[in-house]
Amino acid sequence: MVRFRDISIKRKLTAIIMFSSSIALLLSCAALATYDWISSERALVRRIGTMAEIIGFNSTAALAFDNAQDASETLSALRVEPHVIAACIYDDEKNVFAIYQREILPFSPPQAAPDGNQFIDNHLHLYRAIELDGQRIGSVYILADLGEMQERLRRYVGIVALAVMIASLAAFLVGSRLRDQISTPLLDLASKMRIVSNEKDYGVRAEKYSEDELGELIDGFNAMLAQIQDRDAAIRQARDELENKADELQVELAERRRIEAQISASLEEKEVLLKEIHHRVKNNLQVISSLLDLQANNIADARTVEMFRDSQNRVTSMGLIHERLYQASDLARIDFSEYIQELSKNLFYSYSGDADDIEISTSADEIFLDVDTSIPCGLIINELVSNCLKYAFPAGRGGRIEIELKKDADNQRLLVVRDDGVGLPEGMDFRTTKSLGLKLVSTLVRQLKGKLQLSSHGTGAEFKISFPANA
Amino acid sequence: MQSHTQRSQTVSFINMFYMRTSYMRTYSMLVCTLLVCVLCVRSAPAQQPSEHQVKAAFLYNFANFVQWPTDALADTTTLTIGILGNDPFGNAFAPFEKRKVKGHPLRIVRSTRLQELPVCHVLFISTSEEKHFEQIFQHLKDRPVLTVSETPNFAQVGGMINFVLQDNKVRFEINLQRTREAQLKLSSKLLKLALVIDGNEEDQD
Repeated sequence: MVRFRDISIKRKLTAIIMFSSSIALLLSCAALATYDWISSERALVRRIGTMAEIIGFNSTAALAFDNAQDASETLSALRVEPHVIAACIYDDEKNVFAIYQREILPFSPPQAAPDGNQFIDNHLHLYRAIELDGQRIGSVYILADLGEMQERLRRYVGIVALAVMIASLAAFLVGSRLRDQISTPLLDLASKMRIVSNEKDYGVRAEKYSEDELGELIDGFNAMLAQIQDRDAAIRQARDELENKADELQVELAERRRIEAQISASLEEKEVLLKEIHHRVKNNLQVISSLLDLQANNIADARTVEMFRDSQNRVTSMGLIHERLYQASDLARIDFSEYIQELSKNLFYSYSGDADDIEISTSADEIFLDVDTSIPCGLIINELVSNCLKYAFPAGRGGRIEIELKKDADNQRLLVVRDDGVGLPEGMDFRTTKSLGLKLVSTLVRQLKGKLQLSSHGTGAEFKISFPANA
Repeated sequence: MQSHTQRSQTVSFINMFYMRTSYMRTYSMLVCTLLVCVLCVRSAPAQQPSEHQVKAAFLYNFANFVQWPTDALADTTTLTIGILGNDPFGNAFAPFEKRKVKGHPLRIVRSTRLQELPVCHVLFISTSEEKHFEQIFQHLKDRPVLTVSETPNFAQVGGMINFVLQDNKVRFEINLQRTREAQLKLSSKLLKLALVIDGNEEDQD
């Protein structure tokens, strides 16, 4: 069973038209029939009542002179009225005086009753008094059946049914015209909508039939389609632009990758080259060191030997830096704390290989220095530590040399070399000294754009050099 | 209240014959029995009135169906019924003596001599006066007096209304010519019930 709200608009409209027109017809016909029934009842009562009065009037003499036969004759006039079934006249004692009946039926007159009429089971019972000279001398009773009225009502119902059918047909014919005014645009709209949703064709437009709400609906629908089309076009354009841009980017990316590969290849090449250079520099410095060593072995003068050894150590200290440089992953700088340890070990063996009572301790923060800083810094340490080993601990005196490299505030580095030896000679000024080592230190500090502080006393000397991290 | 119930019972009883259902039929039998009882009870005590009681009532009722000339019966005049000769009615007039007829008070006068009677509107002439009918008619001439008797041939010999018995019922003859001569107008309803003794003319009024 399809529910009413699910059937198509066309059928719905037809149903509404037919239903409402039928209801209106039926209601008006029912009202007419009811009115007709009521007025026929009234007319019947009036007619039968008039008859009763005529009969009563014509029966006065019969009653007065006790002539039942005459009364019966008067009653028999009722024959002309087809729906009078029976009638009777009562005398003043309420005894039945005369009887009339249409057919031979067992009819027993009811007891006389006061004036009035009643409808019982499709029959009218009517009583009227008979008066003579203002005195009640009897009464009339008439029993009428409503068969004629029923017949009339039945005909009425038949006519109404026919009228309803004809009117329904007319309503259907007229209604289908009117209905099409509404259903045609809607059906057209629905089919256009199906095309849009099934075929994704936003180019279709619904036809507009009228300027009413349906027209507005169709305008709205068309406007929506137009908007969708515009948006589609905009999206398509934006997508095309994006695709173009993506292609360009792709090309650019490939170019960059190529360049990057080139760069990294050349970088690698450079690194290899740099390592090679450092390696060669180190090797050459080692050769120089070895040459100095060989030369020193042929010199008898202790002072000259010492000078050679100083020079040898200076070369070695530089060589160590180059070695570190090509061994490190980063070719530009070296881990200086490791360097300091190795340098101090080298110096220690070079100057007092047998002295067990001198101890060198290094303490350095993890500090990386580039080549330009490392070389002067290494040479400074080399000079200062060499000085200590040569002069601070004369004649088997034991002691301790401390080398410290720290990060200081304000991006400064602080290099400290201190010993607990005999200290520097009284009145010595390292700015004016004739010692090559200290002159070198002074020059190198300047090169580092640093500052040198010296404190010397009976129990040792302390050099403090502070210099900027990136000189 | 009770009479109403009875009546509706009766009414429904009548309808039984037009609605033939077995239930109704059973019911109708019952009601029928009841009704017969009621009717019997009601009709039984009504004593049959005597012949002269009926005639007295007729005399009284004639006044309702007869129109006297206005000079004979003015609006306020007493309507007089005279009884001439031997009075056969006894106290049969008793129920009517206090009544009025067409607004006129009723008076019953009795006498054995015509001269002793006042002017009457209705004159009942007893059979005892049969020998003097001619004299009486002469005396009354065409005066508007409705003459009534119960003597055979009364109407034929010049009387107006004469009681006769038919099948044990009281009926009456009317001599229309005489009533017309006396300027009395008789209602057609009355004439319809009468055995008309028409003198010479055919037309009835």
